[in-house]
Amino acid sequence: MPRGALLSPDTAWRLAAAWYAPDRRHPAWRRRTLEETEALLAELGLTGDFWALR
Amino acid sequence: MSGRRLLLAAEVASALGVDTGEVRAAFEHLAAGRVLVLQQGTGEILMANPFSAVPMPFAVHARGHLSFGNCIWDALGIPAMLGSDGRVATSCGCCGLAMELEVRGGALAPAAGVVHFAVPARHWWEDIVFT
Repeated sequence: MPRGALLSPDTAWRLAAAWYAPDRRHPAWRRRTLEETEALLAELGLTGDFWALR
Repeated sequence: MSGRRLLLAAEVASALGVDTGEVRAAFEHLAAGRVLVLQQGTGEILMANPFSAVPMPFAVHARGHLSFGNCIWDALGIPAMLGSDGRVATSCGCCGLAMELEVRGGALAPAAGVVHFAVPARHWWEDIVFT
């Protein structure tokens, strides 16, 4: 089985904080587009084949 | 959410004064859009990310409530989404030792260890429960 990816706890927190900052309970919440998600991951340095969405 | 748990379709229908079938259809619509993950067989909510409707090994204490994340990412996402402090109690996926992560004032308290992602991003939704 491939090893997968390892993140530091702090990077995992920054991913969670960015991902869930828009409150999903709010009526105006909407899913990110693919491009927005790619940009979010890239901002956190999560790049490369493992983090590629397509 | 109602207090400490996700609602069943019949409870949502009762709260809204609509037919349960209408709620189930809405659940399915949201699941098709990857907003909810439903339980196989019952059609009830399994995940409303970052929350799990069932106990998971990622217990989150935030705002005086105990809830469960689907994974460590979601567990950290609960205080992130609530904009609150929080404490995540989990265990090492390798050795089983107890681990605790604490979010205070919008930051993660210094923590040892690593967070492992097993499934490449493009495959996450092929089996989101496994992911």
